Amino acid sequence: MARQLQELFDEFAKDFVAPLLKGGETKAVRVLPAHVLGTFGHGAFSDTEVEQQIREGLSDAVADLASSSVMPFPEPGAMAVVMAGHNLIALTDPKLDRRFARGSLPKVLGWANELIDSIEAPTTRGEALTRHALLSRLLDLTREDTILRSWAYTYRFHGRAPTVKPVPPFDFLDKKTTRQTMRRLLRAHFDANVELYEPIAKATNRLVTRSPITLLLEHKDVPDLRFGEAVVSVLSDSGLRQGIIQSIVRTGTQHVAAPFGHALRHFAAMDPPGEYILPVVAFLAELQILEVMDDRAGHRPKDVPAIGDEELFSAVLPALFETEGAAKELIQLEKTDYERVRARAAQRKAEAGDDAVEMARSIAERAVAAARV
Amino acid sequence: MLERAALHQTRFRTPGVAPDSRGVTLGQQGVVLFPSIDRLVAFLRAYGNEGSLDDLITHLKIRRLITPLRTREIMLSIAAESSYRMDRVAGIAKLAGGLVFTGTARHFVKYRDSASPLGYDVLELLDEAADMVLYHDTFQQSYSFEREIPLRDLIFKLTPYRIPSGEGRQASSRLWASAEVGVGAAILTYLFRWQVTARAALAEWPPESAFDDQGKRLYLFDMSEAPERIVKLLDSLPGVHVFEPLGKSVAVEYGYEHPIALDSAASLFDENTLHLFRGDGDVLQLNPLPPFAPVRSLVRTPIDVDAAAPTRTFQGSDQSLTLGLDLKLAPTSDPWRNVTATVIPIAEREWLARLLYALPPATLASLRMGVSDEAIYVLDPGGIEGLPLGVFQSEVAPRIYVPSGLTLVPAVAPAVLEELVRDRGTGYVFFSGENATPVVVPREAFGPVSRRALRNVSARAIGARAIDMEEPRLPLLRYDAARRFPLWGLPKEPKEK
Repeated sequence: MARQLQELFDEFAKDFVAPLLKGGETKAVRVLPAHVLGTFGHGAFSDTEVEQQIREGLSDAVADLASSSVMPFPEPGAMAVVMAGHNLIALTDPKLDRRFARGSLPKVLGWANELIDSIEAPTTRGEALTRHALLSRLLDLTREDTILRSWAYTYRFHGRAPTVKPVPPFDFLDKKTTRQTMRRLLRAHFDANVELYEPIAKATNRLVTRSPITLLLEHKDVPDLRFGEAVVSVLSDSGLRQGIIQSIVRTGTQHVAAPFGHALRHFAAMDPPGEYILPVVAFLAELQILEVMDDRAGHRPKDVPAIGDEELFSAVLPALFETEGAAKELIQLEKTDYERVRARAAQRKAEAGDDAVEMARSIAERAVAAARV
Repeated sequence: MLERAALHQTRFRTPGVAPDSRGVTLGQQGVVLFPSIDRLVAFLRAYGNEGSLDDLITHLKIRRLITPLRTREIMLSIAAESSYRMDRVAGIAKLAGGLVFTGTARHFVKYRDSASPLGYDVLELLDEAADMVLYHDTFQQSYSFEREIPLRDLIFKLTPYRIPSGEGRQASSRLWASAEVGVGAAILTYLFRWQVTARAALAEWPPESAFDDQGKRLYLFDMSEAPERIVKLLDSLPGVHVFEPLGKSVAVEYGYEHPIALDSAASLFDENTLHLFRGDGDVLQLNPLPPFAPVRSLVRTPIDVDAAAPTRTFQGSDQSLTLGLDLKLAPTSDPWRNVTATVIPIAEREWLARLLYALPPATLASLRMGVSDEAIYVLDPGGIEGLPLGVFQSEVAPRIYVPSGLTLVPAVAPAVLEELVRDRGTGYVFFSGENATPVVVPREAFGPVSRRALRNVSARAIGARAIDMEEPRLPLLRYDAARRFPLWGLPKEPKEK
């Protein structure tokens, strides 16, 4: 039994995890039962080269985000993330949707959900970065689909190399290759397992919420984004917060207002302690300030006033100018930059309206009161 | 009669005591019991010499106590404030033969000692109608207050004692002196003739009784920096008393010392009243102080208006008077100031070069150098000490330098000197030689040492290219071989026992 588990662990590490992080052909191995997490979470690599590749891959994956001297792996939380992700990816194989194999799909999905439920909030920067490194590479995992059409038949190869060759002197009439990332594939309709579309998409969204950094960076694909305790912990780390903000601004801020405004509204409604509010306010404020500083930012002010969650997001920046205390430190800028940010804040105030600014100001004042204590 | 206070004990039979922050049993007041008034004076003297009586004076009371058997003792009560203060008081009281107690209203228990570091508590309170009850480990006694002795009255009644003359004490720079009217005028003239800085006033006191014809009148002198021989002379004169000040408003006769350190009880004496303690016990109090005048304005001078010589009017000469002086350099003993330049003979340039190699970057950056055929002129506005070479120059006027240790004579003002050196423009002027011949070095001739001293450095070009940075490739998914029964062969979940 122990040997079987070790072989399964080595195969998983060598064929899936290492190439997932280093790039190249990543093989989805056998599905993983949830109960092996106890062994995998504290496993040891038999092959040091594989271990080296994994560690280098983890560092490279988050190099642009933040640094951490320790990125623990294997570690129960990170291992559960990659195991659950692997099982969900395995469910996208159309070959599983056939007789005898079809019956295993609910069990595999159950294992994936069980693994997701076992993931606890990260407690250190290294843990948060490790989970994000694995999950972001899982979402970046690309499946290549090849469709070969001959005069008699159309061959479809999803995630597998074509095994059919044309019979000379005839060639295929049409050869089409498409690529899709798991980011889309796990949430959209794909070509098999019709009944599992929604459960897989739901499980994927739940998996993303287990990695606070990934949750913030994947904001446009996560419905009902919330600022939970794990997210607030990550945002309270200023180095991580800055890395996340720069990553969001770099990739584009066209879709930040609605999800973050919605999350802020629900967050304020829970009436959290003031010291929890300050990191969230700082995150939203610094995001908008960096957006002003960065000419590449895509969040242009709209001609029509924003409504609802976007309104509240827009109101954070003007609210900071009206709040005394620690909030003012977020806008300690050089004079010309300060004027630019203030001009944008005035624009946002006109968009958002006085009510939204008032609400954002009350949230910021609670954060300032906690900081003063 | 007493029991030792225990650690963390909070309940005491003695009313008004409690443990302080150190755990010492302490009431609001401290009481010191003396058998006689001279022990009290000894305590006050010792305390005043070591510290300040002003700390105690605010709540200090001295009372004479009487026992039911009509014996009398002296009691000193102060505000306890803290066990630190009480420890000091207890230490000095023991030396003076006093017993120390603490309490709040009527009952006072013995203060802590080495046998009981945390203090004491009574076993049973004495139920007697008395003003004060003191509890000691060898006795407990009730007292009644006979009368209060104000500290100020006590001090005024104490007689200063003579200090042995062999101690060789020097008189302080400022002295007061009182003199009877008959000898005061002579002292005025004497002080004026010997040019002693002094002021004089005439003080009067009303007659003490109806039998006195007139009140007491005395000359009062305020002398500064009086020579010792004059002080001793005045001290030896009958009718004259010299006083040494001990504060703003207190002075004790020269050669005497008050039993209590009066400077430590300055709050007892009104600042607007001058108190002069004589060696015979008499205290002169002057309130208000009489007006003082310098002695030179009070000395009698014979003036005969009629016999004064007439004045003469001076008439200027018609001839114009010309006088031509050359500036010269002369040695001066004044300390060197503004040494911000140096002139290095050209023969010492090798030395300068070696020194420049050794100078730190900060010094090198501040130097500016001008090179001529005869000398190298180096300037450093922050001080040229970092370059110990050549003849240092002191800046006597803006951009005008003379060798340090010399000065221009006649000693003209810097503004005049600037006007004297004509045609220098924005250049720097260096005086040298016995004839003080100035040399003007143009401002443009000066430049940073790096520009003036260092040769150009030619770099050798080499090729280099950046390290290739590769982004990790995207992972490409490949499904495993399709299995008919995907769950077969997987590790089974261990069954619960």
